[in-house]
Amino acid sequence: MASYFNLTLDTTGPANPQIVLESGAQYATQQLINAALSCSDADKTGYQIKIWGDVDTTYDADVQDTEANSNWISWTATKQIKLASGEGSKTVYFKVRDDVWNQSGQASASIILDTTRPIVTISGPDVSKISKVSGKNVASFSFSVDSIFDEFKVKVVSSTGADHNSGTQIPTTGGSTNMSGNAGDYPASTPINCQVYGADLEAASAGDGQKIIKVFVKDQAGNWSV
Amino acid sequence: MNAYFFLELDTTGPQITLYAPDYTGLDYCPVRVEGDELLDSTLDLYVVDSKGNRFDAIISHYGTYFEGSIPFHSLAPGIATIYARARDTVFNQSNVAEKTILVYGQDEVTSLKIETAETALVILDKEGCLEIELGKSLSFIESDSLVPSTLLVIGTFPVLSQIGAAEIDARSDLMQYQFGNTVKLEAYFKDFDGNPVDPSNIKLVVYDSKLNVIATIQVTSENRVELGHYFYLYTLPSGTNPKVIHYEWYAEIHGSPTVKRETLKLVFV
Repeated sequence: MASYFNLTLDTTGPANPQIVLESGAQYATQQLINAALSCSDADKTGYQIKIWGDVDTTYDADVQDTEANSNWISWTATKQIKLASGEGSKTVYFKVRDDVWNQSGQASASIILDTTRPIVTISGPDVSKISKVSGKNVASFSFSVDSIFDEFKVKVVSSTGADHNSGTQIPTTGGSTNMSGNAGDYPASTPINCQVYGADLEAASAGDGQKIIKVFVKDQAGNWSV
Repeated sequence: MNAYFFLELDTTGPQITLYAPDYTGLDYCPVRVEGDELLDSTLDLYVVDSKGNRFDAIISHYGTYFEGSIPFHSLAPGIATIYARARDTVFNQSNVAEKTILVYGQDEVTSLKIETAETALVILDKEGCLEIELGKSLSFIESDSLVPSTLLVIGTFPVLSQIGAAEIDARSDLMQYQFGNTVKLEAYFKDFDGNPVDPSNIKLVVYDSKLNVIATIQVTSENRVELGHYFYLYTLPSGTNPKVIHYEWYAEIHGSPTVKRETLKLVFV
């Protein structure tokens, strides 16, 4: 029998803790988000983490609003958390401790919760019926949005409640103008003038009859209008 | 506010139908062009007479149809063809509607077609009265007996039968009214905004087929039904031979004349 043993003394906490919310996005359009967690220690066996901050305290008993109220849980590289309700900036904090409970420093990340969809207001069109005959082959309208937006598209849809993923984008090969745009930073409350030509309308939706034309915009948070 | 709007695509031209009598004299000829949808006010309407001359014409626009009388005074007697082409409100062109019409005139032999000895004759004098003598050969008619103002139209029996029928059924597109009957004629006056309005100097003028005035009636407040709505009980002329008459509502709205004309066909039975 040996008359000795080895005992490792470890007083160093995990190094370089980091938390990244929604892949570093500036905005979150919904409360449920993903947090990516990391530290530079290669072997994380027996490691635990603690997360707290501006969260919905009813969603996860281990993730609460204060450090004291949250619990240590086993290491995971990703964790779904639910932000506290209410629009605005949300901050989430993170710590990790090793297998002998040496704690890291505190890391944090912030994200702006914006669940409000932009509102589109259409003016026009100037006519309710068009053909493909010159002089009567174009309808003009304009639209404006209540907030700054980054992208828009004009579609033929099958119902007035359709979302931006449905319908057919109206092309511009027949002369139509401003049927889409993604230049970003379009100012709020500033009309964008559009023209729909009969040939393009027919290309998007064949056959005579009444069509539903709908404008969709995406704000800077990524919310699409409906 | 909505983020959508409705837009109708219409790439189909209207279908139009042309109504006109089968024959006419050198007079005003009623014409009606009916579409199967709302029409633009532009109508390409013209007549090509038997000599190939083209005469453009204009008639009034009433939404889904055009109606009016076009002058045939300058047309050569014989078979003429009326052509019409309209367009809808988004400029899709209609079909070309056409209608052949026999134009009879004065002081001119319009047709000479003898296929059998049993040739029938139609003699139209300058008053436009029709006489039909069936079964007579041309040899029975001495050319010296024709006065300068006599129109001679000669055709085969079937053709003449058709012409005879045309006389009786002329203006078959019109509602028939019996001679001597009393009809209720109504008018609705509106301003340019479509609002009913009581005009001044309301008259009902009745013309014969040659546009000679046969009656002028001053319409008063006694004939007022409600704002902008007037009527008159008019007793039609007596007679036996089918004919058409025209009536005209005339009034002045804010000093500007407004007229609306219609045509009635009168028959004995």
